[in-house]
Amino acid sequence: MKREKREKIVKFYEFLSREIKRIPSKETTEVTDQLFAEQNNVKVPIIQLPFRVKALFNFQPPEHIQIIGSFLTDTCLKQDLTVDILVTIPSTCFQERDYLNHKYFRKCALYLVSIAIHLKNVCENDVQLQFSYFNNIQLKPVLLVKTPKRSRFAPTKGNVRYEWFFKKQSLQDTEQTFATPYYNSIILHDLNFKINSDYFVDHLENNEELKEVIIMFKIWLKNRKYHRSFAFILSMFMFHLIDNKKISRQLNCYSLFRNTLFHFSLSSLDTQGISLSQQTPVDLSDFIDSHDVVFLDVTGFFNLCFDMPLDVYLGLKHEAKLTIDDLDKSSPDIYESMLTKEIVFNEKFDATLLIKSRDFENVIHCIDAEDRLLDFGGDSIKASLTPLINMLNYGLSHRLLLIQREMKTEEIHWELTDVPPTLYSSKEPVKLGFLFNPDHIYDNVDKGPSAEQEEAKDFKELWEEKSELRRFHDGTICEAVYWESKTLSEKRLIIRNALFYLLKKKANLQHLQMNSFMIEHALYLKNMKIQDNQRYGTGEEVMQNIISSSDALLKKIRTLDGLPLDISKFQGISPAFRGADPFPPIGGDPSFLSHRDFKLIKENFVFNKDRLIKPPRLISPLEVVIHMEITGKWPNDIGAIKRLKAAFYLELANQFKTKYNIVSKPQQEFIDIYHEGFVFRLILACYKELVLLRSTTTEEGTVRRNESKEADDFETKIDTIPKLTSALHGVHLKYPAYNLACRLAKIWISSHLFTGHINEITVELIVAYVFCHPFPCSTPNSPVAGFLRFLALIATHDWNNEPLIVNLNDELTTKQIEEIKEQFHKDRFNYPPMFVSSPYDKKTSQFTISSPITPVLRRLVAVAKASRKALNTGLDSSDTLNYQVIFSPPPDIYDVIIHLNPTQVSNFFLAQNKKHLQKFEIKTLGQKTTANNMPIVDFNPLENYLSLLQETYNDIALFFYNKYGGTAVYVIWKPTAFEGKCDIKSSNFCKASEIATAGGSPRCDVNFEAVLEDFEVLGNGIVKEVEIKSRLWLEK
Amino acid sequence: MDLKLNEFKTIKVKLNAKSSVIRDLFVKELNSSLVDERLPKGICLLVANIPPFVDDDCIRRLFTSFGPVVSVRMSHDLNFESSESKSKFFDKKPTKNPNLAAIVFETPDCVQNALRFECESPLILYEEPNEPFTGVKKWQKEYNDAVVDREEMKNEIDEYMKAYDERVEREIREAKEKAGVPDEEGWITVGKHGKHSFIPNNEHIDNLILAKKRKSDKILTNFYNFQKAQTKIDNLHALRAKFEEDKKRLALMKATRKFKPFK
Repeated sequence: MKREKREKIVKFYEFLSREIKRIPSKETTEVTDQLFAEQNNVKVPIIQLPFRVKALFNFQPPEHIQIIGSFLTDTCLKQDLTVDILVTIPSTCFQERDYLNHKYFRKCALYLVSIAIHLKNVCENDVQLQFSYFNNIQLKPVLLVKTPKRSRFAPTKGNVRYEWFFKKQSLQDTEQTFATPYYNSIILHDLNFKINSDYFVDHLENNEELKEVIIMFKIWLKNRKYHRSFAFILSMFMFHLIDNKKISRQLNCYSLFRNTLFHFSLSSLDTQGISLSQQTPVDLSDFIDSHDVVFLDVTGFFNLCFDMPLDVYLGLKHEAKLTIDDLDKSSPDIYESMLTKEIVFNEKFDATLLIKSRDFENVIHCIDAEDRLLDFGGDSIKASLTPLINMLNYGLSHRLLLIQREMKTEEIHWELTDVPPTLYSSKEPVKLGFLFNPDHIYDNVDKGPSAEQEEAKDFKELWEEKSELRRFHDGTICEAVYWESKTLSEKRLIIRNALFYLLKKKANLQHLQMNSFMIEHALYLKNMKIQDNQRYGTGEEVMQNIISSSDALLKKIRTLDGLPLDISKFQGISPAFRGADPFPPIGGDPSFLSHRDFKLIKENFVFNKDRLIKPPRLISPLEVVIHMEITGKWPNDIGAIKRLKAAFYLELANQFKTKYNIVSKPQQEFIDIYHEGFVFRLILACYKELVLLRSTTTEEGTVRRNESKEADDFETKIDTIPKLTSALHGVHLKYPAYNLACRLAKIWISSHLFTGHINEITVELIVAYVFCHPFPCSTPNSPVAGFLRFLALIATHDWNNEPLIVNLNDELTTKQIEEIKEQFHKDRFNYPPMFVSSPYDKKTSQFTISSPITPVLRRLVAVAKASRKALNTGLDSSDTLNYQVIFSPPPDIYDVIIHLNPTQVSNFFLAQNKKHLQKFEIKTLGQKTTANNMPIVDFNPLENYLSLLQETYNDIALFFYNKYGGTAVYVIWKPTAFEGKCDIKSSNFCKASEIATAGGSPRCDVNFEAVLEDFEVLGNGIVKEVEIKSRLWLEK
Repeated sequence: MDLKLNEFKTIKVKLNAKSSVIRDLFVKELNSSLVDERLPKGICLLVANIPPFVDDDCIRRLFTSFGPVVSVRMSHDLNFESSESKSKFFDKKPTKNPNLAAIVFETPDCVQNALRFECESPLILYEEPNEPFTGVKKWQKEYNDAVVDREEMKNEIDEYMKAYDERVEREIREAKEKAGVPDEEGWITVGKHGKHSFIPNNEHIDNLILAKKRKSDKILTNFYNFQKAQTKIDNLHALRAKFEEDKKRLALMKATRKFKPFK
């Protein structure tokens, strides 16, 4: 902090303290007599419930005023700078029994009011005065010191009388008291404030390294959305380690930070507790019984962690562990991700649950926690959340790694004239976050204790009629809860059902909202009717069927005799083989093809000629690359190799027909085989072909290597994609949520009309990055978390300055990564706008070379930002999430919209927001279908139209569309279209410019009217209407 | 070769009677440098800027009004390579939309007719009942055509492979015959089918040989005093350049630094 600013603050502080000391003493009044406040238009900054309390208040000037906290030790953050001033109320202001029934708080609040009135009169409008809660504790507007004996506030003592608080007679006649550990701690906090602050300053000793560590703690906590008061606890924890010689104060800043977090991540303050004091005036076990987390201060009376619930402590430990693990990996940009990336609650947790805050008043009675309500001064949320979370933890411990509430970190301020607010407004719900345990989250059965054990009773009590005795594979008979589910999509909902069951049944919470699973609706097939009783769900089962069917196909190929060479490799390259196809092709019988529209040519269905026919449901082929044994016998001529391959396809087709009666469709470059309801497209790969494509013979007979796009594409197809497919399949197996996040990402990309502008493999790699490099969070275990972080990555990654390096399977070494980065920075302009590197494609980023271009990338980032915001607000809203908002393209910025005829869009059934327009039916998802005829395969007029448009008008326009059932093509003219510089040799849409430029050669302009007519003519049959949004060419 | 607009004459056309969109076709006489034996000089007309849906039948219909047309050839470059492949199944050219046409008329007059043509109202590309063959119907036909006749394809492949095998065999035979026999100038060709060992003739091996040669071509450096001085000066320059570059790099790094927790 700058010296001038410091001096200014000190000056102001001196002014303040002078003024406060000048306040005259006042006569003694009743605490409830607050007339003087109202006269000055200041509201008492504390919630006074119940209002009536018997105590006397007299104001006297403070004994002592001093600066405390981070300003004193020079460890404050520049943003949200606050200077804490400690005002000591003279002991003559207090009476003997002020520890009782909130009297202390009331007096403090009134004292504050007195100060506020005085300052308001003195400073008038120069200074803004507001009240705030200390660390968001509702009973503590601000702070003071000194009165009764500390032992009065031992955790087992009760200092709030039941009758007073609930305004009724206690059930028993005797004066029964409940222990009020929380209430006691708040008062002790004030009593011990000066001692602890002095301890803190003593230990700092103006050591710069220690100060820096404390600043690092603050930033670290702030980015993780924890309250910054925890920095004080972490600092005290560090001093505790120093005192106990666990770490040395001579260490540098980094080691201090790392070691403190390391010890913290191993600590068990919840079960053992530690103390800064040598003596134990109060038994440690008393504290452990009454507090969640125990860390006693220098006096041994006060628990520093009194306001840290167990779940927050565990969450903090989890974060510390993540940070330590990543520090140990020593990845190059660890500091950046550790200290600069802010964590969003919804993105960190796999699922979030919203509970209406008003409902908490009932909860207290359901879970029998009235004593806690007494202790927490009527704050029903704080009082009941911990027991609620404990109950959920007990019931679902093996499914979940962590349950944590969302912390309120922003300070609440209010004007002097306002009534003090409650922390949770009645509208704002309470949010819980859940981290899933990927090993058990999808289990069908919650196994409880064995029937003979004592715990079985508790288990039965918790689950009531859901619990039943079951015999398990290992022979034990246990209490267990069974959740019925058939598909994986239903299995994902088990956790939601279980949570709802427990909360509704046990806590009578009726208004629960869990939007995290809503987003999966985008993957359902809403327009498809499947006749047999198998369920499609979200299609994972279909993809498993595809893989097992392809295995069966390989087995069949291996048994064929008469093939010239054996198959050495059989590798699927379609997204479905990586589990990443948003809508995998459904097997089963094709829809019925009428003989009026279709006819048969040698077992192949084809169109009856010369009529416009509604295409059948799109059947996409599943591409498979096969390699043969290596042989030197391939000819040295590319034409000959191509023909030999075609001959191989013909032979394959014959053999399949004769041996297995399987129909197939051999072509020049591939063969489509109709196997168990799926169409597999086999492509024979031959490395010799690649070599020949890349070499030319010069006139002198020298063989030369030349680069050709055809060869590069071919290599990508037969070499790079198969390798990536197996690597990404590995990611899919390792992280169960990966493929769903990937499919959501693809639907998102497509529904925002980026189809074709971003390669599918690129999307998969970016999602894989989220899973392989999750730091600063843990690996996402739910689709929504993965998808949200994908959006966040696209929105926040610095595409211009940083490469995105996806280290699949950790194959890249640190040295290689640095090398890639170095080259990238050195030569930025030679790399594409979006650079995604993987172990199989280190330095070229071949899937992003031609697209997206810079404007498209910029738009992608903007759309990702908007969608991320929309999804986060959707998750935070107590209404059901309308997932379609995230998947509908933003208001159009397009110049032309070509509306299409839905009946000609052969995958229209995938459309997201058009329900019931067109129902498709299939008979069965089952495997055993043998058909005698090849259906219409891969006939997609939309794709044909788009590739024609892109090929013809590439120079003047960009085309956008949705691959999954989109019914419109959106066009934007490129700026070059208006420059009037068409090359006659290659154009077919020019006109001679009307403005014959004087002297110069007559120039050529784009004939926009003709182009618009072309759009209609070229898409004859599929185009419904060409809508022109702007006639820019007339303006220019 | 570039085509310049001012060499062309413009003919206005429109899609059909209903259409209101006027399009320009650019025509000129196909000049000598483009002509080969298939496109004789003087009776050929080059048409450019043809709309993407127009086929050769349409062009033929349109230009018959200037005189009898012998042939029409469409292409997307000026080579006008024959698009017909010898094979029915293989070596197909990518089907890019042609935008140029070469029209061969019977007499030179017809070419001049076309170039002299002036008309107020545009010509019509598709009179009733003709209409462009595009869109879904075309894709349906393409789908139907892709179904191959297996027997026919097999026969064609067999034929090709037979010819190929014969060619390879002949080459080997010839190479063997030639092995060790000097040609007119006395050179003996060493090939992989001969008796003698040989080095394959490719770029990779050329590079290896060159690298070896470069090693043996070492020359003395820093022999004279002025050379030594020069080297020192060069080194100094290089260092300075590097220093400047590093400064720039650091400035860039500072500018792009992301760790700004206090902003």
